[in-house]
Amino acid sequence: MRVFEIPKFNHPAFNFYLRRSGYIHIALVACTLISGKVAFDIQRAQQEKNLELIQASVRVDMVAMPTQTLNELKNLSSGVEEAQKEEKAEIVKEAEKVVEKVEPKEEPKVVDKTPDTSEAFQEAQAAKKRKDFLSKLKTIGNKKVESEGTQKAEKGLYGDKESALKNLVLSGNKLSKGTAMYGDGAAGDLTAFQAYASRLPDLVRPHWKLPSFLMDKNLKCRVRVWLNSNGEVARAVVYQSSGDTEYDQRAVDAVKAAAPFPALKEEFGKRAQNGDILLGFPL
Amino acid sequence: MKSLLVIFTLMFQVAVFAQDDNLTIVAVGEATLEKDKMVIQDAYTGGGLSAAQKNAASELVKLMRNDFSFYQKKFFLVEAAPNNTAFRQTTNYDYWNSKGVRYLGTATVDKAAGDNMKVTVVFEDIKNKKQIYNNSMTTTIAGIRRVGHEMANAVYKHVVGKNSIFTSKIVFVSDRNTRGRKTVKEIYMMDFDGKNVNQITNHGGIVMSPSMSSDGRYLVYSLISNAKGKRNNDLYLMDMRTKSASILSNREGVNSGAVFLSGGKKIALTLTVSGNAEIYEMDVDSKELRKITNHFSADVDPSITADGTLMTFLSDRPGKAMIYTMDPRGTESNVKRISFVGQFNATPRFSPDGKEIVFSSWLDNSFDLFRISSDGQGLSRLTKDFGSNEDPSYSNDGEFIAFTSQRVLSRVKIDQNIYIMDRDGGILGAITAGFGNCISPRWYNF
Repeated sequence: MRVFEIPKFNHPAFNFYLRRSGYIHIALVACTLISGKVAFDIQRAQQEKNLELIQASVRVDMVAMPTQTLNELKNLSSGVEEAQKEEKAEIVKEAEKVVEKVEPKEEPKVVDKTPDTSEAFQEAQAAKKRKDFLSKLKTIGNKKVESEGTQKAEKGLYGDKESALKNLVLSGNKLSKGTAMYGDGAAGDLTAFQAYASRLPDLVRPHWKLPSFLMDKNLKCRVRVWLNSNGEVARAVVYQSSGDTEYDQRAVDAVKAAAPFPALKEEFGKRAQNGDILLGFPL
Repeated sequence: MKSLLVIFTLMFQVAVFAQDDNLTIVAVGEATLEKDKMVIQDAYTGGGLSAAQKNAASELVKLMRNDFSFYQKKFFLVEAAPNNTAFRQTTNYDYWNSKGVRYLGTATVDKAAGDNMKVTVVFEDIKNKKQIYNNSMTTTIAGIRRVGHEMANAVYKHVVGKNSIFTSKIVFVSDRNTRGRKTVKEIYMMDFDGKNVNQITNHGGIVMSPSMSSDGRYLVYSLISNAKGKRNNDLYLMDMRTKSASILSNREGVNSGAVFLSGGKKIALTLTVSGNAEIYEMDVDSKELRKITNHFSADVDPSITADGTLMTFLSDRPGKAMIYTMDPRGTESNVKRISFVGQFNATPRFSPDGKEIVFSSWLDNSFDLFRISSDGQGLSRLTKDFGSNEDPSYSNDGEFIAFTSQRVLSRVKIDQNIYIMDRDGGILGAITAGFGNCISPRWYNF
């Protein structure tokens, strides 16, 4: 008796099994490739979605010759940023208090505070008087913003619908169209982590400077940032290089110069510490 | 078992991608510009120079400072303390670095044979501690402006990587020769900074809409003669070398608004010979005509990109003067309306790269300048509350726009001068003054 049979290549079943084995292998490889591609696409879509969520804008169609010059518009937008800083400083404090009262596990719709705590609203009204730009802008796209914007803006990120509106109108009125045309980008949809991340650009931008020869090249890079729990930058590395070392270096330097950022909250601190934030220079 | 394996593979794949890319991207936005501080020191003058030559030396430094100050977005000119030595010393990089200076320029003027001067210009990159430009040229007092502009351009080109406007010229029309009741307008040419003005035509009539070939060899313009008899708007061609002018087209009606196509062998012009203004292409040598537009509405004022593939013009097809683009190589080919607003739009002009069109439009009782990209997107206003602004022309590098601005001084007196602004509407100032009413600036570099 023989324990092992000598394989018979002319066995009638051999070809059958060989072919079957071949099919299975091909199927496996195909499966791997397809699933990989699908997962990759989903991931990309997710990534793009994140970007869009934070970059909201409204399209403003031209119905008459623009009355504001380019330079006026530029000054206008910088004026808004200053006004917002003042507002944010006060309003954010309020919002933080509210969050502390809410159970920490709850998804922090910071804005559960209803508009009837009208302090923020009054503050915004005061700001409105300070800057008369809103009245100037009213003619442009006011209707659209009101119809689309009010519901979302009422539960705006900082409980401040006015500033959200200003942002929307201004983004639409800038040099070119915004980066996204979706109306669902209002601040109310952001998670606490995204809300935190969306505050970083305002802090980094003052340090983000380029000499003219780099300015004209339309370069683009992304910097991945790891933060400590107290908001300090633990690491900042180039995630997508622009191809120009000086450009990359200036982007990283801008992040480091802007540090420390606001302290992390517990519910999302882990993500920021894991380097889940990408800063796009410029996008 | 097999299906398990497949599922496992699939999950493994997803896990790998998810782990890598679950990042939140936030956009920081456009950077602000970091201007480079530049110091150009007073000229060092060697012995034996005449008073006039010393004057020219200080003119040279002034000119270079003025040149760079046009690029306000790139350079920030800082005034230099007077030199405390008679000769150029080796540069103390640490000292200048501590002052935040990025570029340091020095000029030395020495006596050379005869009336000549030897001009040495040195520019240093303080941050990188190296010389970026060191050149000497021999010139006379008359030639020192040209030398200064050329040297400044070489430095600019080294720093920025492309040519500046420093060697460019502006052709324009002025009525300063008007005597009595008959208006006389002639063509003049000057450096971009308003200096070195030369009269080019001398017809004693009304000359208008000049255009030069890109090599500066030929000038084409229209003339309404003041001579008695029939007054027609005829098209002339002038050879800039011989300064001799000849009639290109004297058809009935308007022969005007001509611009050279690249190559300098053909022009595009507006003729009303068919009873209706149309844009034609004309061969300068054979004078053969070809219709570019063919429409019952008036089409005027062509401007064509450097590569000759796109033309912008003014048409009243919609009932109002609106801006259109088309392919000038065909007839009525690819006609596309660009502007949809404005009461009256005029003089569309391409930027050198053909991506933008600047034009004037009637708004709030005066003309103001606007910019639009050549696909019809991004309409933006450039001038406001600055008189009535017309006739824009991009500089050779596309960074600046020359235009005429008109002020009403009194009921009977107006004042019209040529101004320069950057392409975003930041006004740099007038470059003509007291030279009659200056109109139709055209910016060239050849």
